[in-house]
Amino acid sequence: MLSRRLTGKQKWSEERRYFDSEGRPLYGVMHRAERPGAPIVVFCSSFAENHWEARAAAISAQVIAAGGYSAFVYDSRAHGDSAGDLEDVAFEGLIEDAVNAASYARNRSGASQIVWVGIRFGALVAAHAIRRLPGSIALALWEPVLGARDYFLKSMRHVVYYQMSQGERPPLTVAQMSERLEREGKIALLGFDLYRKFFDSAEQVELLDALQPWRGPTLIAQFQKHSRLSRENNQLHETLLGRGQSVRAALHRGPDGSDPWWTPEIIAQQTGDWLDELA
Amino acid sequence: MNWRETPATLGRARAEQPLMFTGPIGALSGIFTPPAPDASPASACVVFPGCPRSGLRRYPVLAARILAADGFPVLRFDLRGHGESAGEVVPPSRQEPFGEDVVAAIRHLRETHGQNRFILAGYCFDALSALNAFKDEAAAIDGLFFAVAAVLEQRPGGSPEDGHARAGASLVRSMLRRARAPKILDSFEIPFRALARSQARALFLYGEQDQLRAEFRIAEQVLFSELDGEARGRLQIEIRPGCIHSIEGQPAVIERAISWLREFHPARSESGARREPRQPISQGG
Repeated sequence: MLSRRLTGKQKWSEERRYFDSEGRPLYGVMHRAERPGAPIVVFCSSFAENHWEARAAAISAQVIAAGGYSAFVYDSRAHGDSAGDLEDVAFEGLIEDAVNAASYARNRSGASQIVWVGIRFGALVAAHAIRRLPGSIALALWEPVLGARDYFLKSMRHVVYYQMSQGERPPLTVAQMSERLEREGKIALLGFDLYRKFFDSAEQVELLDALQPWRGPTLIAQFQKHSRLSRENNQLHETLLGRGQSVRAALHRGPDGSDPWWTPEIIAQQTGDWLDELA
Repeated sequence: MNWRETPATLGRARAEQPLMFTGPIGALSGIFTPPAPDASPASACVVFPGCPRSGLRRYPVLAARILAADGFPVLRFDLRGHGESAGEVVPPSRQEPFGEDVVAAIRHLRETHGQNRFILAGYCFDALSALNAFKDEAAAIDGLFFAVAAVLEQRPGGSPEDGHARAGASLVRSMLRRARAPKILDSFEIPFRALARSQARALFLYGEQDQLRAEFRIAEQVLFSELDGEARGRLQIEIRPGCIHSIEGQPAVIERAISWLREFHPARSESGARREPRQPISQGG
């Protein structure tokens, strides 16, 4: 499916189709721009389902394409419109999908270089994929998850908060949820099931460890209401700077009263501007 | 229900066709799952409108592939402002469901995929949007699966904001509001009447403990009570124990949607007709 669009500054076309990753069809959308020699921007979406983050990627890819950079958004295995069962997914599989997606997108767009945008948990995936694919030249981390274990525990805490917000007494504490995951191999979180296979495969993954060999330019985009970098993001920023990297920080607070994920256009534009500066 | 991917559903995933079509305010994005070529063909195309189309835990994606493996063509698509579809992000409004988006989907399938008969399925706001398609396309719709959507102009007791109000003035306003007769949404009543006039079957599904169940009782009293015998035979009401308008309740809703939609398959209808005559109404609660 190919359509022609004119948005913002430059012409771009859009192509939606399935591509293969490890014998399984994954859904991807290519926004093909026409700036000669430009890298392709590959969006690595988060784990499981957060619809607003997925929509933010879809909108941002259009903004970036209008800025002259081809952009590619895909659904990992067992996510969105792709094939696969979440029960079978391990962290390594998400990295394989990211590498296959970027390779496919690069071939299809004709670009030679790749810029990664890792969204939330996708930052951990991108940080691993970037090491496996020569030609990766820059990395944008959008509200990055800094450690997988902490992310899982926060997801469990969200269940407790949700139940309390519904006026219910949470039947399980976070510790009890962890025990159930260990014992039964699966727990239900908000909007997705967490399987022990995935938990075990990712538990030890830390962003700073994964980025140890990375020396390319990096953008940290914080999607929070705060007017300064959070303690965790500041630590990430300082550590990368200490490694001698070029690091840019951007605060995306969104309009008053709305979730920053609802309005990704501004941060997408800033990401495009950052790419212009790198060129 | 076993939601695991099977060779048959993986085959349907491989056959899926991304598509875009023009909606009332911009492009709408969806995935068309063709029926399995080796399955007995169904006579109608299933349409799942979604916010977004993948839904919670990807149940609409899995349901589309399961039904396509049975022989149904299926479209799942993002309503405006959701997923990949154009439009600003706005909180869903019970007064303004996106029926025009569903109508656009039906017309696109008719024009480009040769589909002429449709069965719509939706949960909550998506259900209200599906029902609204009856205003314009009732003659082309064979069925509607309608799960836990709003029916009244305002939820009983006022809006969520009012529920938090503690000031005296707000309390008085809230009491006055409660004292008024509840008004059924135009966005429910008008398309419901179109549904009743049509030949389509429908299943209205609620949980006994759902807050929206209280709203739906008003619709039963006001609208269903006016139906003639023929229409009551087509429009079923099913009340489940507990609460289904919740994250935990969704698997049961989708599972019921699949089983109900399967009744439209000619092969299933024939074997069902051989077994026993269909019960016109299953009403609980």
